[in-house]
Formats: sequence, structure tokens, C-alpha cells
Amino acid sequence: MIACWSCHKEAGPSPFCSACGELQPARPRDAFQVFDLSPRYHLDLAVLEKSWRERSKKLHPDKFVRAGARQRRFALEQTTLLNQAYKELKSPLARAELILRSNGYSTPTAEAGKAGAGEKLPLEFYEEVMVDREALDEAKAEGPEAVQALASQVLTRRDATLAIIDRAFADWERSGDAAALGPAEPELAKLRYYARFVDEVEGRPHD
Amino acid sequence: MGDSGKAVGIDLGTTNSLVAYVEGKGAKVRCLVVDEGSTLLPSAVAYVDGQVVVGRQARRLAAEHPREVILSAKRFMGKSADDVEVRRLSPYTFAAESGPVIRFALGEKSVTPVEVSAEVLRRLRAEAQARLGEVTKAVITVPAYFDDAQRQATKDAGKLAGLEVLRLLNEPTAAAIAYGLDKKKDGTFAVYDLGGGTFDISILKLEDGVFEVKATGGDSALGGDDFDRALAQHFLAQLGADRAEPKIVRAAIDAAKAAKERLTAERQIEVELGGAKIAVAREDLESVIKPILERTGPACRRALADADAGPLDGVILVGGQTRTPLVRRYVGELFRLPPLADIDPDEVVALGAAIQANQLAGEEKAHDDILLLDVIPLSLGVETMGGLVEKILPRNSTIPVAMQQRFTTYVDGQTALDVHVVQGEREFVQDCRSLARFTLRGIPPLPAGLARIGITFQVDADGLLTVSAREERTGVAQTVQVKPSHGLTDEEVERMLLESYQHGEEDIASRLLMESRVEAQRILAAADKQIDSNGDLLTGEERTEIESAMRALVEAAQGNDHRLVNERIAELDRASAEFAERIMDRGIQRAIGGRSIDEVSESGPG
Repeated sequence: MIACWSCHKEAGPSPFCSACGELQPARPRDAFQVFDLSPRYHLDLAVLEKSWRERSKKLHPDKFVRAGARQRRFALEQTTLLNQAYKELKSPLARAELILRSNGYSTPTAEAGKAGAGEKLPLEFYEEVMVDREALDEAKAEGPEAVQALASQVLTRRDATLAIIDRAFADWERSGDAAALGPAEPELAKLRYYARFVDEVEGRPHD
Repeated sequence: MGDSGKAVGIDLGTTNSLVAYVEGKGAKVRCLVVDEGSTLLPSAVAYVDGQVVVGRQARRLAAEHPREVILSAKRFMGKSADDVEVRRLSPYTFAAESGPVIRFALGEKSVTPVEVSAEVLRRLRAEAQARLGEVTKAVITVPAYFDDAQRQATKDAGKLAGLEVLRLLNEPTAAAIAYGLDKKKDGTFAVYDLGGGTFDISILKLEDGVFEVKATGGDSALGGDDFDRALAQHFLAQLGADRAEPKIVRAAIDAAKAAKERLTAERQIEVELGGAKIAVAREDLESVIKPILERTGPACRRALADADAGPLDGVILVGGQTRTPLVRRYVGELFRLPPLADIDPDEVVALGAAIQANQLAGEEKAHDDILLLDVIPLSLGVETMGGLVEKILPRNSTIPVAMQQRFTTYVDGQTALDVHVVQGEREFVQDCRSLARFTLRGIPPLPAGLARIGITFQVDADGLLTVSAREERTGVAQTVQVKPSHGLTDEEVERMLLESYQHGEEDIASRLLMESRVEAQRILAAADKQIDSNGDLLTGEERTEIESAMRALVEAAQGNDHRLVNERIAELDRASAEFAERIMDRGIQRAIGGRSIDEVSESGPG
């Protein structure tokens, strides 16, 4: 059991003690737990956003300006955790990776020294990447319309990838069988590539 | 609280300042008349003949006493003598013994920008007290880009004027509050604020009582004054006065300003200048100011892209310059929406501040459920190999926020890691602002790439940054606190954003090449060393294959094609994948000594 710092009774999983209502320190929880959601890929983002706002209104440090230093620190921790979880759940890619990780799949985490080359892509996809690269150079020489056309072509392929991911996660959501996620794993690597490619086409530094 | 003093909202502007108040149960909010029948008090303060005069009267003294009449103290708030703004051409003389805070020299005495601003606030407070009784509290608005020093200076000015500053509110947020609550309407709004000397754009989302700043941007050296100067130039050209005297230039600028204002309602007017009459049509004004106006476009598009908030529900106009019909048309076309202008664009910020003041002072409980969520204006990152920046927190992240990134060592046996924290959008360290440096020591000596170092950035609700680094195997940790905004001027913020925009493509290409070369070097060095020390793990055939992949990579890294380099890196990776795994196993075995594999298995290969 986790005891409340204030009343020393069982605090429960919520940010506020279930016994006395005092704000608790942030405990490590995954993004779904932060929002009291069971892990799902298919999320209603409007509902998620509403939930984020409602939670912000209760947890934000601005709501604790007159409280003690301890509560202010907890408010900072809780809101930081909340914002992080929201950012993660908002992105289909991050959401999918989180589900894969908690189902025993390995997904690459952010590491220094990544050059895009360490990614484990299927071999035929690697060739697709090379073709795109050359096409991008040609399109750049040709002009903005050509670049735009290439970008929308890549976006179409990205949508196809998203559809496969979508199906795999739908299967998993129905069956609860982690093996159903198998087909999604290589597609996620493609999705990361598409995101970087589109960023580059649009002149945004990838991060 | 026995304190009966009233709370007001104050827009402390560069050119004009206003005070507003929420009155009665109906929560009617309005600006008070403060200067010669107007709600606008020119932010001008004259120190003439031992007297202090504020407002229009002070402005009229400016021509005769250029040094003793301070017209735009706001530009100097929180600045030191080294700041660009201070060195820019201006009629003021600064006291020599300035120290960290600049002082305007006024003959035998000198005043700080804080004191000048306090005079403006004192006058607003006095005018409000004449109508409302005792006024002791205020919400004062500041530009979204104001840094810590500027915000602190504004707070000090309030204190000097006898006001308890309940909160400093960002100007665009104040404008959105004025519209949001007046209409009780949720949605995503752009706030387009074109003042006399500055331009700001913000994208805000209002829903369920939460005001979320999605993105901000702007240009602190672009405004209506530029319109006036351009139109004045047009007049002077018509007069054939190519090398005009300062007096005529001054007269031309005044005439231009008046003409611009008249052309809001009229289509064709006549201007008198230097004894000559010049006919001006609205079209003339528009063709002169259009190129200046169009400079606001890129910042708007970037803010919209950053906000990624879907279609806009409205565009709010703020600042007197948005009265100009061309500005309204341009904004309408830019955002594909007719802009909202039903609240006076000069008053809207003060009105929003008054609503916030009313809530914070607890005089009206109706809207106390409001929360403002702010963002960081510039990305935060650390320096990595080759002088590159690894962004850890992207700009416009909602605060408070934290993010962790994993790093590793590049050299065998490396026991210390330098952490250099930077702020900005560019790809190279030298183009970003350096915030802090520290060294994480006590990393256990391991083969290169095996140490796991987590660097965490935490920005709290006030925008203060804490950076900590931790080696995960040993728990060795180091923490440093930095102020991301400290001393960073609006100009610096904008210059950095602008440059990232202009150099984006060129940066990416050279970044990609640099990255791929660094990676190539790292991999080649590692491969070399591993063949030396772990060559016994390879068959002769495997060894030949790896060595030919290495030669191909060396060749590619000498060229300028990052894709070829990456391709060859991937080939070398493939050729040596099996080898790397065998080495990793051996390395871990050695590094952990007597510990069991299970203890570290969760960290896997780095």
C-alpha cells in the first residue's frame, strides 16, 4: 500500500488521497494510467484533450499558489507527468510504441548518435527509402510543386502504413492477444521514417 | 481580507497606457477616461522645470525638450547599458554611472526606466481613484516575449506606484480573455497584435475555462511607426526633397501619421507639408505600407504550423494599427477569416487585464475557474559531437514539462561527460544561446557506447529550467539550475527564430552530412579497435567482409553525400551485426564482473 503523506492512510492511485483528499507526490505511471485509461490505440482525442484540461485545472501549480511548499512541489510533479502523458498519448506513433513496449516488444528509444541508419527497416523498404531520397533531390531541383507532389505521394504511403497499424491494433483490442501486434512492429519503423522525410521536405529540422 | 482597495487592469504600453475596471454585479468591464477626454494615456513622461508631467501634455513638450521627455520607457525596461536598444539612435542621454540598470540623464539628476513607468502607473492609479475610490491592486500586462528581467522591472514599477501587482499577464492572453469571456465562446484564436513599434502573433485555444497558449512569435522592430516613416518618405519624394532637414523630416512623419489615421475613414485627403499641398488617396497609403505589412506573414504562418491546432475560430485584432483597412483585409486573407474587431483594439488588452484582476482579487466569483497554460518560446537542447544541437524540449511545449534523453560515451574508459545546455532553433551550437555548462563525473570506465547517461530537462510553471544528468548503472548524478529567459531580449529571441527559418534548409543538409561523418568515424574507430582486441571472435571470411565494408565507408565519408555515408554505415552495420553482438556480450560480462546477467538484462544492448 502507498500511504498518504498527510493522513497516513492508503492514498490510492489517484493524484489526491482517497482518504483525506490531499495532493500526493507523482509516482511513476505510464501515460494510460495517468489518464485512468486501459491501454488502447484507438483513442478519442477530443475526450483525451478534455480530460487533460480537467486534470490540469485540478493539478496545475497555479491552483496551489496559497498552499505549502510541499503541495506546490507535488503540483509541479503531477502536472509535469500529466503533460508528458498527454504528449505521448496524443501522438499515434508514441501511443503505439508505448503499447508495444508494455506487451514485450522492443522499440527503439531515443539514443544519442542516431543517424537514421541504425533503424531496423525491412530490406525492401530500405530500397524504397533510397528511391525517395533520389526523387527528393530531383524534385528540389525541379521546384516547390514537384516537392509538394512527392510529399503527398509519401503521405499516401504513410496512410497505407497507418492503416496496417490500425488493423493490427484493432485486432489486439478485440482479442487482447499480444501476438496480434506483430504486424505493427515493422510498420512503426516505416512510420518514423515517413515522419522524418516529411519534416525534411517541409524544411523542418527533425528531432 | 479587510483590504477594501479595488483591483484594476492596466495595459502598460510602449506608446499608450490604459486602465480598466469591472464594475457592478453585471460584470460590465470598461476603460476609464484618463487623459483629455480619452481612455489612452500616452506613455510619455516629462521632467521639466522640476515638475513631472505625464500624457499628452508631456508629449507636447517633447519637441522643445527632447532629452527631458521620455516617450517609450518600456523599450528600456530591464535592460543594461550593454543592450542593443540602449545603443540604438535615440534622443536620450544615459547617465555614465549607470551600472547594471540604465538611467536617463536629465541635467543634474537621472531616472531609471522603472521610475518613468511608475509615473505612468501613478497617473493611471490617480485617475482611477478619482472615480472608484481607493485602488491598491492591479494586473499589469506585458508582451509574451518579455524575459525575467523585463517582467521584474514591470513589477517593480507597479510597486513604486503603490500597487500590489496580482499578476503579470501576457498581452495576447489578456486580449483573448476579453473576447472569450465577453462572448462565452470556446475555440482556437489567433491574436494579431500590431502596435506602434512591435508585432506579436499568438495562437490560443480557449475551452472549458482553460486558456492554452499553443504558439507565439513576432517581430519587435515592426509596427505602425514604420508605416509613418514610409509614408513620410513618399511625401518627401513628392516634394523633391531628397536631403531634407531634420525639422522637415519630423514634420513629414507627423503629417504621415495624421494622414494614415484620417485615411481609415476617408478615401481621399489633402496634406499640407512645407507650404505645399499633397493629395493622398487611400490607395497611395496602401501601396506604401503593403510591403511592410507583408513582413508579418511568415511569423503568422510559422505560429500556425507550430500550434497545429486545426482550423481557427477567429482572429482577434489588437493594437491601434489594426484599424487601418488594409491591415484588416490583409489579416482576413492571411487567415481566411474575417477578423474580430468588435472590441476596440486599443482597449482590448486592458479590458482582459481588468477581468483577470477582478477574479484574482476575489471580487467576483463567477469566472474563477480559469487556468492559463503557457509554453516555452524557444527549444532547449544539449550540445553533441561535432558542435551539433540535440533538441530535448521543442519550442511551444506546454509548461511545466520534463523530458529525458539518453546519451552514451564515445571513447573507451571515458569517466566524465561535458553537458552544454543551449537554447534556440538552429542546428549548430554556435548559432544558439548558451545557457549553462556542467560536467558529469564518476562514470564507470566502460567500453565506448556502453554507459547509459540520462539527461533530464525540467521546466517549471514559471519557466525556470533545471537540468540533471545521471549515469544509470551507477546512479552518479549532477544537477544545475538555469534561467532560460534570463537576459535574452525579444530581439535575440526573434533573431534566433528568424535565422532558423532562413537557414533551415542549409542547416539540415550540413547537419545531416556532419552527423553521418561523426557516426562514420565513431563506427570506424570502434570497428578498428574491436577487430584488434576481439578479432578472435571472427572467422576469416567474416573479417574480410567487414574490412571491405569499412574501406567503402572511409571513401564515402570523404565525399559530401550524407546518404551515401549512411548507406555505407548501414552496410557496415549489417556486415558486423553478428560481431557486435558477440563483443557486446563479452563487454558486458567484463564490465559487470561478478554480477549476474539478470541484473542488467533489462538495459539490453545500448
